[in-house]
Amino acid sequence: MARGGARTSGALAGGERLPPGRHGLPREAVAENQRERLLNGVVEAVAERGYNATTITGIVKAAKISRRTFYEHFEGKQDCFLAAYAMIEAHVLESMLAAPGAGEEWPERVRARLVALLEVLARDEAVTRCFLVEPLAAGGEVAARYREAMSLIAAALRPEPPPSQLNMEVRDQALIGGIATLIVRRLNNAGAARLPELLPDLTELALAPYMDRRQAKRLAA
Amino acid sequence: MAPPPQRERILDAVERLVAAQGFAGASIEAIVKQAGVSSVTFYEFFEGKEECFVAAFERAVDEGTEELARAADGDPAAGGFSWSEELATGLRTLTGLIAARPERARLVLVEAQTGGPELSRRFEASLDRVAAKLREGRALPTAPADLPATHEEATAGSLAWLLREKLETGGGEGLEKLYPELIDIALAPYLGDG
Repeated sequence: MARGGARTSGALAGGERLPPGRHGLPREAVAENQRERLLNGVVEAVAERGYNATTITGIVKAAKISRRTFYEHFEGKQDCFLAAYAMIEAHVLESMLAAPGAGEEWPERVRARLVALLEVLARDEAVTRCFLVEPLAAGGEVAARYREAMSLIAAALRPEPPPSQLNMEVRDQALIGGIATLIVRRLNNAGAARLPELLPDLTELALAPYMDRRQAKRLAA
Repeated sequence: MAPPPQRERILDAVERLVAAQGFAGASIEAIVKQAGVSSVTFYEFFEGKEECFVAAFERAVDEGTEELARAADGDPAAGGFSWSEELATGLRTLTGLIAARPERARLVLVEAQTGGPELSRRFEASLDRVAAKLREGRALPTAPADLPATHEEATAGSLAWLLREKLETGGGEGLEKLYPELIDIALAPYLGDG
């Protein structure tokens, strides 16, 4: 599992270090900047060392912020990580829902949303590790948040209206279990940049239970 | 040869502690206390915590695999089981095992991924074994020739996710109702559209 060299960029906007001393910025702007740097810091630290091995010291070092300031913003590691997680989750879901082509009919919409999902996950390995790999290692409340986020992704891929003869809750979980397994394995074996290669497989996974396989295959290609 | 009873007691203790508070909460101190053995005895069997966790995981998987193998033999007089019968029996046995030993199931399906890199690797290896069994379905005449290469990995992940979700939300309640869904998810892709 290559953790080294994972860098944060883009997905968590802002967070550049302000020049020291009197920069004349209002207090709120300073606090906002500190918070963003801490969110970037926790993502960088967790992607690098794993959630369980990450310490507050590691986070504040990556964020270049004092320990005292950390505790002005967050109660502890989990609190800080969950705040970063909420931002990543919102970003991923917004990307999926706003995907070009997402206004189309159901099968085309699924494909468009999966394109967007894989693109956003391919962009930043550290962010993707925090979103999909580390929550399982963390367990507890973090894992519960991860499971919620995965349900929302499944909901964005559901057929409308859902077929009444199927238990959709079970189908959602089956789909997301398959998608998460393939994404995490590809991430670990080949790196984030190769994730978009999974598009045809994931599309077929999402469509095949609800339609003729031939047709699902054509749409997935 | 029966395994040493003290070692078994230690692994039983790990199952109980991990189910209650995760690997992070299962210190060697807590394990030996729960098992009623000395820490000297603990170190006779295990180098440390992680080795002990791996042993608990492996025992659970090995014993489960034996149960599955026994169930999958079927009735030799009837010529044994077909692949789909074997798979259906396997899933039935698996849901039964999970319902009977929720703590053990929790260790394998939920907590293994929190127990460090070695346990994660072993969890992934178990998924691969399930995927390999599923892949045999490609030999059925009804199986589509163009299933994606990743289909079985994805299905193994789906099954693990569904079982984990049941353990997380209901402590294993409702597994009976889930069983037909598991069968459908595992088998349907190989049985053709008709």
